[in-house]
Amino acid sequence: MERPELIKACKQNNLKAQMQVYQMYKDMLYNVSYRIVKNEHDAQDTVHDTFIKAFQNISKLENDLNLGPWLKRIVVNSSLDFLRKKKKLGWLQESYEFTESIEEDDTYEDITLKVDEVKKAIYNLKDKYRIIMILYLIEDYSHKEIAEQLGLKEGTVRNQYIRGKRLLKQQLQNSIAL
Amino acid sequence: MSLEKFVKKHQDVFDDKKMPEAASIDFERRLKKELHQDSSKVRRLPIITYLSVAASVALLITIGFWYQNWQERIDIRDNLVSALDESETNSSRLEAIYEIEDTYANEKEDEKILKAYFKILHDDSDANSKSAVIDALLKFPNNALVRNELIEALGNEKEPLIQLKLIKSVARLREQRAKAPLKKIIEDEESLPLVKGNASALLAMLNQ
Repeated sequence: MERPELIKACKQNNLKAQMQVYQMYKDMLYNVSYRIVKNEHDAQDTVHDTFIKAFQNISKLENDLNLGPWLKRIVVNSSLDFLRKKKKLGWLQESYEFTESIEEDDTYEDITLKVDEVKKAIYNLKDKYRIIMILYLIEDYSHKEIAEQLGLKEGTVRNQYIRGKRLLKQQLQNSIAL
Repeated sequence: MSLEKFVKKHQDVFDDKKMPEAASIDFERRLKKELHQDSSKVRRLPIITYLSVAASVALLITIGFWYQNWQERIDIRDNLVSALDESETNSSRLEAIYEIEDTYANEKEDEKILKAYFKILHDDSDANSKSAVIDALLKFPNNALVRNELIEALGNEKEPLIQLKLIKSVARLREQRAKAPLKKIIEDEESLPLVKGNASALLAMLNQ
């Protein structure tokens, strides 16, 4: 089934079409969710919640080409909601509100980056840095979008991101030193 | 290289996870449950059909059983009513009256039985049968037809024992319309003094 027909069929609550969309996007959404919730089982549940919500609201999808990004937005929201329900976003209230921006002076030019180590280091960061870095670096959210998503000031998100980068660099330097 | 560029270049490494295959089956089940209620109804339809057929069969059996039971009761009643007929012996008629009383003790009066009772009451039947019928009719004191028939029988009855029974009956019913037949008994020279005395006492009570 071609994409426009597939989406049209989904809008008509066609089970076969819905399962086809599920097969097309399940892994992509699973990875997005896993990066946020850091648990395979929780990521699976969140992805399933995402598809149900998406199929319930697919009539709101105006441009068929936006299906992937639209699903990604929903899974990010669902994953963050999951963490909120699990009270794992308590750090949002504790986030220090920066009045002045920290200067971004971390170039990473001085260290040799190895992708597996970078990935591992990101996952090792505390949630308050990791989630912002994931959304910015991998999910292509702007600082402003992250701020809106998390209910933080844009300056706070920007500064948390810089802090995260510093912490990440620190970790990577330590691993090289070892 | 900046961190941002590095991560972009190696984005695929961050997308290395695969949704477990079994999850598809779980999801399809959930999808059907949450968004395809109509389909579920379609699947349940045969069950509903079976249940409907079973209920219909049960209803037919019940109706059949009820009809058979009702028909049996009609047959019993008709046999009893036949036993009340004057062609039967006095003992079989009396036996039938008592049988009817027992069988229909807590039931509404049956028109066919009442008609048979009225026939016994007015015809030249034996006193025992008439007495038993009067007792049976007094079970329906609010039935206008029964009251009318008892008053009429009071005016026509010549048997002293039954006259006394009827006087007591209309006394229980406090029937003002009994005054005329009571006067008739009192004025009848052939009436026994005991009957006249009971009739006079009741008339006096009704005139109070």
